[in-house]
Amino acid sequence: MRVITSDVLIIGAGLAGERTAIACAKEGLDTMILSLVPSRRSHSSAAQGGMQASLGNSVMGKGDNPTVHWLDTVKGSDWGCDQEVARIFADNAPIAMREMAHFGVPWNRVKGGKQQVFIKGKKATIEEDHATEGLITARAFGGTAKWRTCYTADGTGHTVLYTMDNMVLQLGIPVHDRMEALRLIHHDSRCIGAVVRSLRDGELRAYIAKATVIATGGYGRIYGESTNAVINEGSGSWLALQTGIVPLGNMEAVQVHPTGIVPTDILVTEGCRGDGGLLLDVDEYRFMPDYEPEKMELASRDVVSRRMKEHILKGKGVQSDYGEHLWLDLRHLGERHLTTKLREVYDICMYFIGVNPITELVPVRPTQHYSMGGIRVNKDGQAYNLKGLFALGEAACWDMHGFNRLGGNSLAETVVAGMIVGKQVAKYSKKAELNIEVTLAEETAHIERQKIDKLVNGTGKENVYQLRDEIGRLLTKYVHIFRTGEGLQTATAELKKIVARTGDVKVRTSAPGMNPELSIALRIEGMAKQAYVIAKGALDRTESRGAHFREDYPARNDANWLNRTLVRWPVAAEEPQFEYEPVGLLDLPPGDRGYGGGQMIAMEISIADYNRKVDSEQSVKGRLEPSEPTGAKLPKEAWRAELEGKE
Amino acid sequence: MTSLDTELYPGAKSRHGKTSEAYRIARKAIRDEWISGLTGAILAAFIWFHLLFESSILFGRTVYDKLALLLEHPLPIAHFTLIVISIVFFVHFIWASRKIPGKLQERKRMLELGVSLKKANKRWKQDPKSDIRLRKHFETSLWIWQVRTGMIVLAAGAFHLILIAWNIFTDMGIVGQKPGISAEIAIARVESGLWLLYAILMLAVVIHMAIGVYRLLVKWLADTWFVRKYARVLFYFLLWFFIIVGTATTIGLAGPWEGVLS
Amino acid sequence: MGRTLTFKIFRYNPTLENDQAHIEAYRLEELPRLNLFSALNMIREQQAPDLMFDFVCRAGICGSCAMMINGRPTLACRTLTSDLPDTIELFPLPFFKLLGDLSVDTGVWFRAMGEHLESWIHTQKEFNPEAQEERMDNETAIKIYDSERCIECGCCIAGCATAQVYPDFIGAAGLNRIGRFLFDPRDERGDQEWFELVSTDEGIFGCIGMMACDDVCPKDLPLLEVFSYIRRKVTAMAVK
Ligand SMILES: Cc1cc2nc3c(=O)[nH]c(=O)nc-3n(C[C@H](O)[C@H](O)[C@H](O)COP(=O)(O)OP(=O)(O)OC[C@H]3O[C@@H](n4cnc5c(N)ncnc54)[C@H](O)[C@@H]3O)c2cc1C
Ligand code: HEM
Ligand code: HEM
Ligand code: SF4
Ligand code: F3S
Ligand code: FES
Repeated sequence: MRVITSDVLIIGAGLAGERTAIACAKEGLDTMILSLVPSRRSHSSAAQGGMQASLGNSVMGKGDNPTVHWLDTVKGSDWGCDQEVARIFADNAPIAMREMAHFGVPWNRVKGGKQQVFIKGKKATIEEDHATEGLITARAFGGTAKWRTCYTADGTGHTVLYTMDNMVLQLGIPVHDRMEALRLIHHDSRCIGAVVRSLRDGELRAYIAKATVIATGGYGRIYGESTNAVINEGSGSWLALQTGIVPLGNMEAVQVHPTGIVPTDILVTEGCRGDGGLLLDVDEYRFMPDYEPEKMELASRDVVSRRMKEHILKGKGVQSDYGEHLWLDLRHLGERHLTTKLREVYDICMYFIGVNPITELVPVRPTQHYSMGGIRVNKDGQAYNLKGLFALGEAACWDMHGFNRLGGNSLAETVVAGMIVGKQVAKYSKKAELNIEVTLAEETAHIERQKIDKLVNGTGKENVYQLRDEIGRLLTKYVHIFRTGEGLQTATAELKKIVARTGDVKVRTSAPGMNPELSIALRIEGMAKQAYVIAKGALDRTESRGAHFREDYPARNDANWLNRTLVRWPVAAEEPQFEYEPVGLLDLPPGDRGYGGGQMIAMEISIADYNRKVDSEQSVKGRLEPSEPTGAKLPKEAWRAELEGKE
Repeated sequence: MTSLDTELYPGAKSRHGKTSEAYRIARKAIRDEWISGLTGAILAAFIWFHLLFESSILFGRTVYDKLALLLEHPLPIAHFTLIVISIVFFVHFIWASRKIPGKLQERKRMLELGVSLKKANKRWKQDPKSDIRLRKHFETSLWIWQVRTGMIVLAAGAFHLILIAWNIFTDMGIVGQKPGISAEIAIARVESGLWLLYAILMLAVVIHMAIGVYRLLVKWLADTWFVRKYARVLFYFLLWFFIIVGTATTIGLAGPWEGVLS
Repeated sequence: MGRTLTFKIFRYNPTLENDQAHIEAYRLEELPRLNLFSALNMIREQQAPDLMFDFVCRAGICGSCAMMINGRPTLACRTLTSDLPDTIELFPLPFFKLLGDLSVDTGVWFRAMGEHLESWIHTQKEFNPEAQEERMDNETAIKIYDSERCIECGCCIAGCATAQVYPDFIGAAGLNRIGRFLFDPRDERGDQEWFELVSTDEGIFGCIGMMACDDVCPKDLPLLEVFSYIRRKVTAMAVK
């Protein structure tokens, strides 16, 4: 078996992985990136809308600062996030944006003078200050107090990823594409790399490094119906779950985006609504102001999706061959806007559903979109329980998103986390020594080899595609916008059976090389187990918070559930183990989000008492000691000045 | 530890200033491009005038002869032009054909692709609702036709040039009393059966010229107001205008239409 | 509606020792709004489990799925079968290294192209995290973005007859990439450097203006415009 060594092994060539690689390579470390697909095809390139950073250059962003951004993020998370991490993020986002500008992203810039825009659905004129002309501009996004989302038309992810990849080229960081990490090589306490299968020729290799970083993106495709790329099948979070010791956090927190187009489930960006797009029902009536008089179409995603579903359930949906949907109205934005700033959206509508958004309404419905959950890490990005393993980006639960991520916060997260975590990875690898434990690598590879052998030559009879479809159906039906105890019960029972059946899969062809059926068959166990964990976590969490909405427990329960779900699946165990830890230090006390309605059950203990428990309880759950003490980056009550200043 | 195969571009990274090999290669490349383009443009402009002058036969022999005389007396414009154009013609041939694939295999591949693209185009149906229209594609086949017509022009044109050179440098031209070019001689030549050659030469040269001008404009001016759309209109105009004028002239020179417009 | 489609698909697995390239036919009932992404997946799931092809975003954004569809290079994911005749011929893109069936290695080629052109901002300036970003006027940003939109699908190269016979030609995508950095005021590469890089037969003068690239580019990039700009810019550099 080929063994390839480096100082740092990064699994995933999306924005998160590449930014980390750059941080490490700049420190002179020998860095290596793996990816399922050529780096520029990673899903980060599909992000359209933009990245949040409180630069406050546009008049509509005047008075913005990291504290306001932080407030929006914490509220958006429904208090489920780690407030310190959110703070680290909000403080660094403007730097990240400027750095990306320095690297070469062609951000749209402020143009001085009067501009025609849409605010809350009405035409308005704003006057940009000539003094800020040429600085990075921003657009409106859901759940934000200011216009804060920096963008390049509607190809933000694309330009940022291309720019990042250019840096990777410049630094000469090798990217081995069409490589799939199948299993981490580790002992009980330390991770030393991964066993990897080449998707070109099926070869198994060992990549051994001082530090291993998982930046593999989300797991949305487990849902089947999803806006995610087809490669987002949770193979990264599975790497962690598979170890039996590294926990995943908040897996049940799955975001549903309001505007996936019908029927292909392709996303049209939140930027559509940010720029003035409206949601209409079967009577072409604009219903959002009735539900959310303050934020209207621009409430946070969980809220808008829920309201849309609510409205459909009232019988106001539009019937179609593909089920009920609503309309997104972009017609009033005009041809120029749609063919420049929203050009991808225009293309998608035209090509995929034959709808011309300049003259026609776009059929949309809420669709699975983002995974708030993922590999649980401390604020340095270090995975729980396993030294030398880091995770970041959508694959991780660094936890600045809690139970609902704001639009534009995740692209920004990938880059900011890349900077922050990258530094820690570099620091770690500089100190660590390289353990080339070939026997361990061989043993690990052997497990995979046996698995492959069983899939190809075994006596199983399950069809992998069928299992995949069943998993998707169950999750979409029962673990979506509205969840009930009963439904989740059914889902967990069914998924349990499917988990068992994954051991019985047989692939129909033994062709060497890429063998697509074998590739997915190798992933199916991970998909089934993660689906089970998602459903079980949702079943156990008897409250509603952010994207997790239980019809039978509609209140947000801060008394019992102001915590984070952690789940481990011990090796060879039948059942996963669920645990809960405090979300992190509370600075902004739990309160009303200002949109979404809903009841709340107040905390019983004081905030001070809650905060006292955080450190100890988290370390019991396996959190490794971060480089700085908990709370070091969280200025106390900085928000007060902001909120009071307003009044 | 790079797994990448960068031998695709050996020595690509040598950028060492004005004395370097890279600089020399770059100078040569741009010079070559300008030579083939500029000679093409000159020939194109020449052909416009040439065909228009020839078409004067449609106004009768007298007009034609007057024009011809003007070009030879008092100044030997025709003689001068002949020498210059012959050189330009030759230079253009040498420089332009550097882009013609040398190997038969390569040519075949190119052809296949052109045909395949063109076929696809015909079969490619379009949702009538869509206003993102897949533009019709045929420029690849045009290029192939440019090469083919170029070959014809090379053979037929060279023959024609020799004929004309003999014509105006012998006693009929500079040595003799009469102008080298005259309606009488021209008609005699054309009628005697050379009309077929001229018809072919005319068609080939017009097609070649129209495509050449189209491509030249797109290559150099597509980002100005003179976009490809207009270049294409001009292409069709040049093509049909000169085919009509040229055909009429051929028929004129061959007899029947001589002086129809007078 | 209700058509039976015949897919004639190029099959060849180079990792198999004695595999012969051949065309295989598959039949499929057409569904409303069926695109080739769904169609190929259906074929793979039901009829040919070893059929190789690439899709990632399935939304026309990532550039993975370019192939020759009835002789034309384009993105499969956003091609609807309703726009095609009953018989659909699928071939891998020419020019690029074949990985198997419809899958080609565009990634490695584009990476090599990027390295060759040094496709990054060349600047002496250090990033200063404290400072405000450098200003740029919005028009310039938009112009850069117009070229930056390339998704590296490879259609332009597969459609370009010149690229087929001169494999060293950097192709329309490569020229477009040059344009992207030429437009960018942040890139400090001087005329001299650009000139030697661009004014070559592998570079801008490899292009003889076939215009197929512009016609097949699924992102409708203003390729010809970029080329004209480069030609004149390079000429100005040469004259200087
Ligand atoms: C349609 C869409 C639009 C979006 N728009 C926005 C937006 O406007 N603003 C915003 O902030 N966010 C947006 N998001 C979210 C955002 O794009 C993602 O959260 C973010 O790009 C994730 O980046 P990443 O680097 O973590 O992962 P990705 O970009 O998904 O990269 C994952 C990488 O890991 C590799 N990989 C995966 N598994 C393995 C394995 N087993 N072995 C080896 N490699 C592996 C993949 O090949 C890939 O290179 C959007 C998401 C979607 C789906
Ligand atoms: C300066 C050089 C040239 C001179 C003086 C010249 C002169 C003439 C003359 C006198 C004729 C009439 C027929 C005849 O007498 O044989 C003619 C016809 C023609 N020449 Fe030329 N010629 C020149 C160069 C060229 C070149 C370079 C081409 C293109 C390759 C060309 C293409 C033609 C064609 C196509 C016709 C036929 C016109 C018609 O029938 O419509 N000539 N030329
Ligand atoms: C000797 C015979 C000729 C041959 C073999 C020939 C061949 C070619 C070829 C192969 C090209 C393409 C070159 C490229 O695209 O880079 C070309 C271009 C061109 N030719 Fe000719 N040609 C001939 C004569 C002529 C004549 C007589 C004219 C004038 C009518 C002409 C006008 C042009 C023009 C305008 C171009 C476009 C130049 C460019 O694209 O750069 N050619 N020729
Ligand atoms: S220029 Fe167009 S056709 Fe070429 S790779 Fe880029 S997007 Fe594809
Ligand atoms: S098709 Fe090829 S020759 Fe030039 S104009 Fe396009 S690159
Ligand atoms: S799959 Fe991404 S462009 Fe087709």
